[in-house]
Amino acid sequence: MSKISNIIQREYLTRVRKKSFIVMTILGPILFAAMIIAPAWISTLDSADERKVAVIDSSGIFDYTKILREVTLQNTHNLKLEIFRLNRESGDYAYLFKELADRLDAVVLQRDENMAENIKITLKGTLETLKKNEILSEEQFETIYNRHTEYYDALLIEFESIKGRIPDDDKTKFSYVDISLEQIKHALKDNIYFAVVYIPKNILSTQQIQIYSTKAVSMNLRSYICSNIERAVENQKMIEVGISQEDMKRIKTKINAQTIKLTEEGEEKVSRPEYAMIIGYVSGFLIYFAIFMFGALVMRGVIEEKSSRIVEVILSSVRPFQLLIGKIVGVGLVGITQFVLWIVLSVAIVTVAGKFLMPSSPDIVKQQAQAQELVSSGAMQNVQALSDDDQPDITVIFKSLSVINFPLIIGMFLFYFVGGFLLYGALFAAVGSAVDNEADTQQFMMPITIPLIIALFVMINAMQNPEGSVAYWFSIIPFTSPVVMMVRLPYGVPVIDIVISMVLLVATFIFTTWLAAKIYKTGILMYGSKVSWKEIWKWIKHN
Amino acid sequence: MYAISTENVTKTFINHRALDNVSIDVPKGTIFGLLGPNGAGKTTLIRIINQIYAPDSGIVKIDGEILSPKHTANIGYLPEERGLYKKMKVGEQAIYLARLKGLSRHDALKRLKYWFEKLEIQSWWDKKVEELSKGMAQKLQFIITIIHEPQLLIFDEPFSGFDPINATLLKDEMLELREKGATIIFSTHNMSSVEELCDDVALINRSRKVLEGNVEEIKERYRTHSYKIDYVGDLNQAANGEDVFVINEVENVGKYMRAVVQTKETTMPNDLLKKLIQHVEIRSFNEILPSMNDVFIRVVQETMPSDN
Repeated sequence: MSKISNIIQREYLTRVRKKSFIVMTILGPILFAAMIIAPAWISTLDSADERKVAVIDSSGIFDYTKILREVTLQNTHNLKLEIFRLNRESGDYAYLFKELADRLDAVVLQRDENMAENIKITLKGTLETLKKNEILSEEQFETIYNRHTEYYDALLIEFESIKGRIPDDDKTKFSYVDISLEQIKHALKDNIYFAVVYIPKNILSTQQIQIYSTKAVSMNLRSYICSNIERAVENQKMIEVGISQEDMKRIKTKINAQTIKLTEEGEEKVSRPEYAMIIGYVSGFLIYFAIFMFGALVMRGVIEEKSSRIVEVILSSVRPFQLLIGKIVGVGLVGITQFVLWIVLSVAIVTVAGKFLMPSSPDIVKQQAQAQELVSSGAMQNVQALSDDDQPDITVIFKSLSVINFPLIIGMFLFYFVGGFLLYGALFAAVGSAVDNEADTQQFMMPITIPLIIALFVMINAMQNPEGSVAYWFSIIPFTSPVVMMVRLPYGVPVIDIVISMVLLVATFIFTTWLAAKIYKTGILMYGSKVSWKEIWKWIKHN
Repeated sequence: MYAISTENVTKTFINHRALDNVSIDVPKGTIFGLLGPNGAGKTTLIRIINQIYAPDSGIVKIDGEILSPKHTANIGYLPEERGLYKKMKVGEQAIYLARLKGLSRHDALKRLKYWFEKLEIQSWWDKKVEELSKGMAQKLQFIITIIHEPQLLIFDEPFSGFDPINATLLKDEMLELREKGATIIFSTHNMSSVEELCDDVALINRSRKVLEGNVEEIKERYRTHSYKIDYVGDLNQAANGEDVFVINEVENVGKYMRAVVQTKETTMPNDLLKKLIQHVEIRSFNEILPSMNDVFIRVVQETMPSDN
């Protein structure tokens, strides 16, 4: 026993200390994390600084503020005349009227979605100050205030129907300009704007917009702009055919299916098959990958001992079976070590990188709050539809994840990794013992690789149909069960299936190890001649 | 009691019989030569003693006990095809192999230190084996073979591939180990080393043992009854008549003549001498004993046709 543990120790330590192991251990999670983070990172890549995007809306259907401004300008004209008149009469307080006029101009120029509201507030504030100072009589105040606020209220309601606007996001600010394309080109060159969105007059028929920019515009930004304009155009078209926003809200339908699993005890559990699928796929694929990778390590170790001839010295101290088992167990432990390190490092990297690259959860909450506000003000029901798609209810996720039995899956993952590795590792070792160098392994690899590849195909099939007979049988057959059973597990598998599969796997790896030991015993000291299948059969029979 | 004795050991591989009823006895504290042409079965026998193979029939005893896995600690083995883990460091590898022979890490370290100092190779400890020259690796392999101070040492073709310096070193160490009481079995083609080192030999040809015994006794057994005589006078006179001996060759070496003569098997040296001194003046008289090389060739050729 102490000899086997010596062998295991050597097999383990020499591999774990290898540069390639350390590099793989570090690189693996980085690559894995990169796969997860890269898309998110790339999408944030081009918005390192705040960008300004100008929008020129020649059609007017999109930029409602344009219309608002025109109407406002026209109306403030009357208001201003009145204010000027008061100005002249009020002497010392003239500056107050001047200030009000300026402020109205500023608000109008700003042209944001709160414009009408702001005008109202500004107007009311100033007028109240004047009234308090008894410059305005009650009557005067009422006249000026009412006349204009009534108008803005009416205006607000009217614009409800044509409200489409690209909302600013974290890094991009959209502003609406009335300058010509020629002027805009200068602005682009002077880096005032990152990009200019030009909406032509005939957008309804052409469905074409132009985005001008001196730098590359990211996919994300482009689709963000497009989808917002699409919605504005859709809204416009709906108005044309006489569907109101209210109707549209009612018509818009999104079906959310809640899958409820009835357990054997009659309990009802909410489940989300997509999570089961992902977990099954990842764990099944990892086992497939690990068997290949660490099986090949065993094989190479055997070939190394054979071709360097050290094997004869070792066999004068230990039985061939001890050497075989020591090697398989040692490499298996390397595999487990690598997996544990990968998982730990991956989680660490994703967590840390996520903190830096992804919006943190308070941000999301803030965004949701903003969206809620806009929705409640009736401004952006389309935005709400968007966020509904992207953000499934967190509680639903947790509920459905809690249906998946994680301790069972992790336990089974380890069992099937160990079982599958022992089953195939012994065969890999046998192949290594039968050849003189790695180039000769090809002819014997077929019977090992074929069941594994079949397992992979069945796994993909089983993801679609985990209860099918193909999935069932291949999760029982020990040569494919480590991969296929992992796919079935998250969906819930009857205990009897698991037990049969496990027992068969154990029995089979005992058998393959026994078989491999026979081949190994003879092969390991056989040099020079290229071995055929027939000869290997003789070795098995002879021993 | 013998250090090793095999009794009717037979081993058959898939395509041929490697050993056929081989029984040898290796006396304790001797150097035992295992001779035979290539493919005779020497390595198979050595592997059986090392328990790498199990015999199909027959038994192997070590110090009178039936061979079992615990005995691997009592045997040191240097195979014909020598190799080490190329990527492993020298010291680490030596400790690993010593521990497989049952030494504790502490003992292994202590003894390795002693041997590394004795052979002046301490500076290699942290080198990788692939950095060593062939000669260096041979020294390391020798140390690994003897590190657990086994009572029985088995060297398979130890002088093949060793450079003369290492070969001499190996010979000296073998003699020293015998002094300390170890028994050494080595297989070789090199007959001069057999004469130099071996107390006993066994000759295996075509899977069978064809000769076994003490080197001196074997030489005696295969003597050709030839004598080398330096003399003055006329030898032909003595040869004529009674038919005691025949002259095989004669040469003139200056002041006297030198002849090689051969007698019948029954003729004692004294009888020959009596006859000779009647006719010539004897300056020196030596019996010519066969070399092990001669014996080897003769025995192998004699046994050739018998195997079928």
